Amino acid sequence: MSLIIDNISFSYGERTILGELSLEVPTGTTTAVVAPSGSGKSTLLRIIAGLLTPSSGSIILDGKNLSLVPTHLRSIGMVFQDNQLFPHLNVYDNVMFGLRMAKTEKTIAANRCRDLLDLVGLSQAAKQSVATLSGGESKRVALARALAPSPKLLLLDEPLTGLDSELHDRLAHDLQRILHATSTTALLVTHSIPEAEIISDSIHRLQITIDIVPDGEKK
Amino acid sequence: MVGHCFEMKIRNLRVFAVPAAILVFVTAVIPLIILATSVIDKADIFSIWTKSPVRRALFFSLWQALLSTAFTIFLGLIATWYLSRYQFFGRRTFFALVTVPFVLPTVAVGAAFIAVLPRALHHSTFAIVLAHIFFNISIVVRTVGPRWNSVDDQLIDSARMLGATPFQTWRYVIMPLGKNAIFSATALTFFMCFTSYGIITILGGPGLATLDIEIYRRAVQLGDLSGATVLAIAQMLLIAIAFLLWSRSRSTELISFRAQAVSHRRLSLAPKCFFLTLTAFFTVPVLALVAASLRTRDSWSLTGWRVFLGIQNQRGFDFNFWQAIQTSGKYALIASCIAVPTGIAATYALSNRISSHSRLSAFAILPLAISPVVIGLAILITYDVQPFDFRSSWLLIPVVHAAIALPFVMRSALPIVDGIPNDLRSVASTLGAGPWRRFLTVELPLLKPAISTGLAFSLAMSLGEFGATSFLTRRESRTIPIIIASLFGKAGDIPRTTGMAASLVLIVTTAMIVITIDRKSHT
Amino acid sequence: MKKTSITLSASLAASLVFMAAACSSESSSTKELTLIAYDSFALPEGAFDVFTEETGIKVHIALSGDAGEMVAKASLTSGNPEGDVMWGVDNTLISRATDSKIFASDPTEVDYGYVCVNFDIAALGSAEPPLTLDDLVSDAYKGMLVVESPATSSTGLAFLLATVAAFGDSWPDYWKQLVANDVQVVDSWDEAYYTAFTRYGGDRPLVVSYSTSPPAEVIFADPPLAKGSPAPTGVASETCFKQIEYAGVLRGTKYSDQAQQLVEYLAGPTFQALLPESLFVYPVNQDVALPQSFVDYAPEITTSFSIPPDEIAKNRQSWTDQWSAIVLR
Repeated sequence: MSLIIDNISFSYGERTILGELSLEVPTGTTTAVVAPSGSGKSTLLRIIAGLLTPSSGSIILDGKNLSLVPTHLRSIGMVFQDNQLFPHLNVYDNVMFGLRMAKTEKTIAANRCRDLLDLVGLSQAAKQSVATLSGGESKRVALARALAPSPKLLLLDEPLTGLDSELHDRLAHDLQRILHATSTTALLVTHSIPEAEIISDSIHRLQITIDIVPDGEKK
Repeated sequence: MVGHCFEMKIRNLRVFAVPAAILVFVTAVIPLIILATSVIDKADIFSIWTKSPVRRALFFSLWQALLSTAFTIFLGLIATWYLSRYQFFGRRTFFALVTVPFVLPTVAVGAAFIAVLPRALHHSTFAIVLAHIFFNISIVVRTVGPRWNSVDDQLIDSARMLGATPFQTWRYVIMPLGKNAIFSATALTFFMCFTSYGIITILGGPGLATLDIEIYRRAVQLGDLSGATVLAIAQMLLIAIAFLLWSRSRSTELISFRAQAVSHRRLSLAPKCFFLTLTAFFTVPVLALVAASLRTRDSWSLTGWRVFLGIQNQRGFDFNFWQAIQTSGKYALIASCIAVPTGIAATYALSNRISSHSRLSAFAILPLAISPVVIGLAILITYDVQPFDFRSSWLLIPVVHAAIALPFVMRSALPIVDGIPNDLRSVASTLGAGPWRRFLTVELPLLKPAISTGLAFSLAMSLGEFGATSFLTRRESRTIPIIIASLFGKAGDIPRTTGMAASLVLIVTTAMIVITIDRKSHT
Repeated sequence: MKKTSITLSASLAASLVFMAAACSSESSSTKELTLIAYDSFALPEGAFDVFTEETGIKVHIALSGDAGEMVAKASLTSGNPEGDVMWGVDNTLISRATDSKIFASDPTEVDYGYVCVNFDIAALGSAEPPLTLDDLVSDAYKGMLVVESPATSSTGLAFLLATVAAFGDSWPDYWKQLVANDVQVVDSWDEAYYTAFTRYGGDRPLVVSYSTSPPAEVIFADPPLAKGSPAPTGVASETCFKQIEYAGVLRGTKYSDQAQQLVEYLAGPTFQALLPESLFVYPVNQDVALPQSFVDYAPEITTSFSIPPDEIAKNRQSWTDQWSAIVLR
């Protein structure tokens, strides 16, 4: 389940936001794309997710070109920067959502849900309303929700931005642990190199000019 | 210490709801009680329901209300979805087109529909349902719109990424999020259709009578006041209870639509066609009215307009339009001066306590829920002795108008008042502002949008009010809707084209007032 | 803080009450009388100037809905009326009015009119226009007539009463024949006249209206008719029901003498002369000359139907119900 980003570029009107970007994420690993804010990181994720159409280039997931595949069929999960939990559903139902959409059999779905909640350390909170969750808790629910339908690829948009520093480090290690435990292929974007270093296996620096410079491996 | 202050504040704030309660008591509750105790024959309470015209009227009321509500909600939700989430050419205009009709005068709109529909459909359930959609789509857009507008695009994206097809997204995310607002819109639409009076009067016909019409017939033609009052009270109770049950949620408001951060997605062909059709639906009747005001049997003529504007004097006519405009305007301003402060004060007092507010809203809806005939009669026998001889005062009519506009002022104010954070008041206190200064410098400016919308509603409703106004005895010059009705009661080209011209002017004026004030409240 | 708001709310409420009460006390000077009339009581300016000059009393007009509503309200407030004099109770309502004792003494006749079938001359073309009620059920006029429902229209009621007077107990058969002859029923006069009548784009050349509708057509024609041309509509002169309107002093008024003077004025020549071309009715006062438009265009009705008012009051509802059962199946 490797991801290949092949020569993606995106312009909005006259502005070029992304220019001929190519990148590869090997199966089961986490890659971080690091760049300052406003450099088109979120745009990149949206293109991969299928929420935006690139001006040129293609996304290839697991050997399959996704150009004509609509978002809900891409089997790509995403953790948004502000989590976007469904306010009308409780924690459990939020995590179940993807499984319901896929019409997964009830017992299998329930088990998966429970397992994930355990994994993120929130099994006690299953029936809670999402409005009562703290920042860190919401992030973990968002992660569990995205992972529940076993996506081929997980995207994370600035996962730790905005969380206070103590939470930051703890969550960063948690993320790394969970992603490895589930053998998820993941791509995360962030402006913080330290964050990227904890969570990911390889880092790419994205510059405002065209090319990316592949940088060192994680220690 | 803080808790104590907070408590004190809540206790004394409730007092602001008193004027609203007084208004409703004075115009509806007390008169109705007096009427009921004076004229009801206990036997009628049960026997009235056995009469077949009553049952037919009840059935038709329910039937046409259900039908109208179903179509209104269906079309309204489609329109609201696109209006609240997409940017497209003409969106603002379309929004105005859809939301203005709610407060247009029923007499004038009835005239417009008569002008546009083929004869065979003039008196049909079809025409009634059409007219109801015309008026009430606004409710859906104004109630559900803000709710859907506030749904983050990314929330929808999340759903899609979790594998939800567009239909599943709609069913499991969009509809649940709008559930409360949709219920409220449905309740209010049903209520408006059930108690619809002006439209049924004009577009109804033999066999197409609602309960309100039957109440009128009983009271006026049959002289059966007892039966009419029983029916009116039953209808009122039904409406009030249903309203109370359904309006529990906070999203029951008809507010100015602050369309923020609308996505830049373009509309595909199907929605475009839908909007084109809807635009035609809203503009064609008005255009038909323009044509009808200029057309005599086989030629075009400006006479109707000339007579209306007073340029041409017409033998046999004594309708002084300028005076009527003055009277209508005066009533509208007075009604607003009463309704707006009263309504906003009441909302202000109760916004922190949802159940109290919904109870007061349901209570405030009473003047609208009771047939205008019955209210008129009730007021007649209640206020007939000094020092309460209100019925001989011209002020009575604007006061009744205010009572009718009150619930709408309250509902439109709620979300805005709600949005004022409590902390703001605390902050101002710590900076040394006493209660009055706090109110004037911090809260009043934030209440401006509520004041604007409330003002727009009261002005428009007063200008177009016909039922209660025509029934209560008027000691001053006629209002414009009364003149329109009188004109349509005379034979000849000239009264007819003049009536059409007057209807058109009334519609345009009301629309302009609402649009201008709505626009202003957006800045 | 608490006290301020209570004081404020209380004063707001109190001021509303006193404002209204204060306004009402204005109108209790003896120099003004209130005349209650129906909504379409539209007279030219200065209609009461002569009265005011002669008596020093101003006349204030209060409009009270249509005739039925007006009487309903007056019945309810009998003995404590909203005004001093009432204009416009007609013969279908007078029984109810007297039963509720709304008048201080017997009301005076002030005007009369006829509800008759009108026809559109142009639409009839070369065909003979109808003359009698019997004509209306003949094949020649199949599918041509539109009537108003007596349940909702006073014009419709008058026509029904005409048929009751004409055919006595077998009036239901007449209506069955009308139904078989494809009569159209609408709710109100303006619906019948302005939408169903061929003159205004409808498809029915025969309509139940007033014998004074033809002069109205001429006066209000747009573009104006050429001088000397006949009225565009005519009247089937043996289908008419006579409507009489009354005015009277209301029981309970504080100014009965002055009110009586006003009633006399309403029946007097000065006022009566204004009636034809503003209300399109005939003045009761024989000293008043009819205007030219009436002379030229309003047909003379020599025979008309009528029913005693108390009989109308007694049977109106059952006649209407019977009618509905036959016609509105």
